[in-house]
Amino acid sequence: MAYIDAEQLGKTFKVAKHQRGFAGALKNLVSRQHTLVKAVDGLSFHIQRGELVGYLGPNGAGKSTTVKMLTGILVPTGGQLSVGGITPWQRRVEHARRIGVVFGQRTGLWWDLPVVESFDLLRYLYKIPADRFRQNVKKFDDLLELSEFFDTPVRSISLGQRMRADLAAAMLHDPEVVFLDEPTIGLDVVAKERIRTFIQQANTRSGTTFILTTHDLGDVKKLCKRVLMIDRGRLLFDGLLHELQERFGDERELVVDFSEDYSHISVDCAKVVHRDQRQVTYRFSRKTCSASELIQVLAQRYKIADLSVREPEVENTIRRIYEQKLLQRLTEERP
Amino acid sequence: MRLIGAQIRAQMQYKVSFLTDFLATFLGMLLEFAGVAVLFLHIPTLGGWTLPQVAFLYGTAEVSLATARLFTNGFDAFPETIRLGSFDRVLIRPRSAFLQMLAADFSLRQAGRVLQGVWVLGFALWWLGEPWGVERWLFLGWTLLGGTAFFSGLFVVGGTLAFWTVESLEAINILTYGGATMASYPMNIYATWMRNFFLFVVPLAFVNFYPALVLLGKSDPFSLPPFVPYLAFPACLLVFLASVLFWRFGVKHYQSTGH
Repeated sequence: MAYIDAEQLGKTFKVAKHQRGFAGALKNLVSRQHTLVKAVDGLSFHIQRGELVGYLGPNGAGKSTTVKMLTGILVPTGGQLSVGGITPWQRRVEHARRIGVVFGQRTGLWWDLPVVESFDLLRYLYKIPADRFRQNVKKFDDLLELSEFFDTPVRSISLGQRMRADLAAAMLHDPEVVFLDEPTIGLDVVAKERIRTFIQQANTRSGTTFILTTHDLGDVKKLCKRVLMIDRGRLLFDGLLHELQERFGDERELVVDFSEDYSHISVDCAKVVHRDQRQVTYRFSRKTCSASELIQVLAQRYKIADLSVREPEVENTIRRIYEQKLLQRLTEERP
Repeated sequence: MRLIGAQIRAQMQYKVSFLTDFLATFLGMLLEFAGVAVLFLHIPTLGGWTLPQVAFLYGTAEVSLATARLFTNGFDAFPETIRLGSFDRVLIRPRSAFLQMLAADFSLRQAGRVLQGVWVLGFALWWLGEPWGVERWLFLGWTLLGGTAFFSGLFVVGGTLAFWTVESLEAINILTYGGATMASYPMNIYATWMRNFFLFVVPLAFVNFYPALVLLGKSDPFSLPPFVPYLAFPACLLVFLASVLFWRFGVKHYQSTGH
């Protein structure tokens, strides 16, 4: 029994078909036609306590729908789901007490009130004991520097500040699992780093389970060892990030600094993608040759001052997966 | 309860707007009643009811409606909430969605209307002159409570409809605001079909008319049995409870369709 168990989870929506034109509008009034949309189809996965899992997929893949089911907002049309032993939508209030949610694009705080008052309201809503509350507020203040804007109404703080506040707010009641939906969207580089560091520390220090839905691969790279990838409602990949890289990220780069100026620097098994005087960047794939083969070929022909191998960018790997639909439906293997 | 306090504090943040709203609603209602009072310059009684008696109806209707509005403003704003996807936030919290809605948009500006209703009611009672025993005051209390429950129920239904239609039906306002206006006058001035509708279908007559018969010592123009006024509170409570059930049905619908 894992902490989160999903078994053939499915959600099918009935979407009303919109008829075009005036005649269509009339028809719409009389008889509505529906198409069935499988937003989520046969999802099965198991997440242990304390994991920090990335949930990836192109837009419209079914990520939000999955998260809504996990948080108890939506009721699935098929399959089973249990989080910490409870079925989320059946025992919504009890489930809500154990989870934290951060919606990247909407705030969970009260818009016109100072941040500190939102926190107080949450303390009341979640029945957080006073000393635990004080401890947590201090802890989050230390990590996220909230005291800068504690007394400012949420409507007046910047996006970066609001995200920090939302993140702290979601964790005030020491939830067992936190669902993050695009927590770094729209943030500057420094702010993103802060949020990521906070999440990482919260995960390792408190053992809080995190499910991170994101398009930002920087988030994924820094935080997630394990990723789930979904497209068109189906689970395509469930495993470690580096496995994904190894399977699909086949292009790597070798950057060579030559000791002398050479006019002809091309090789058979690799492509020259960049040249800046004595520094040349070669791109090669494991299909054509390995890194060591390429290095040997170059070393035999030229004098090399320095070289480095660059791993494929996660972005490129994932983009190729989405674009070229490289992953077919994952068949479940029971662990 | 805390949430309501928070709402009040939030609204008082916008101090100028709050004050002007308050004064505006207060004065507006004053003028409205003045309009009714003017009517009585020309006619001595309305369907056998004197000005202070009509003022009593007006006051009770107003207090009930405004108090209901005070708590159910969140339901009035619900179509917007659904559209913005803000309802998910409510479902995430470890409290009943209904309770959260009651506290959500606690509207202090309605306080002006409540005060005005109380003022008119006080005026009516003063003019009527007779001293009241404890029983009558209690009965008045139950009446007002019932009236508030009744109108609250209607507002809840109006908001719940937003789960199905994107626009909240203006029809609900006919029953609430229109209903309160209608209840400000004695029921016997209305056509028979209207009276029957508002007695048996949407029991508006139980908000203040029937209780008023007992409190003001008037006889029933419709000759219903004498225990009928005492059904007022239960009837109103039923309306409220029915609306809560409808709300829960609406939430279930939201959870299965996502909108």
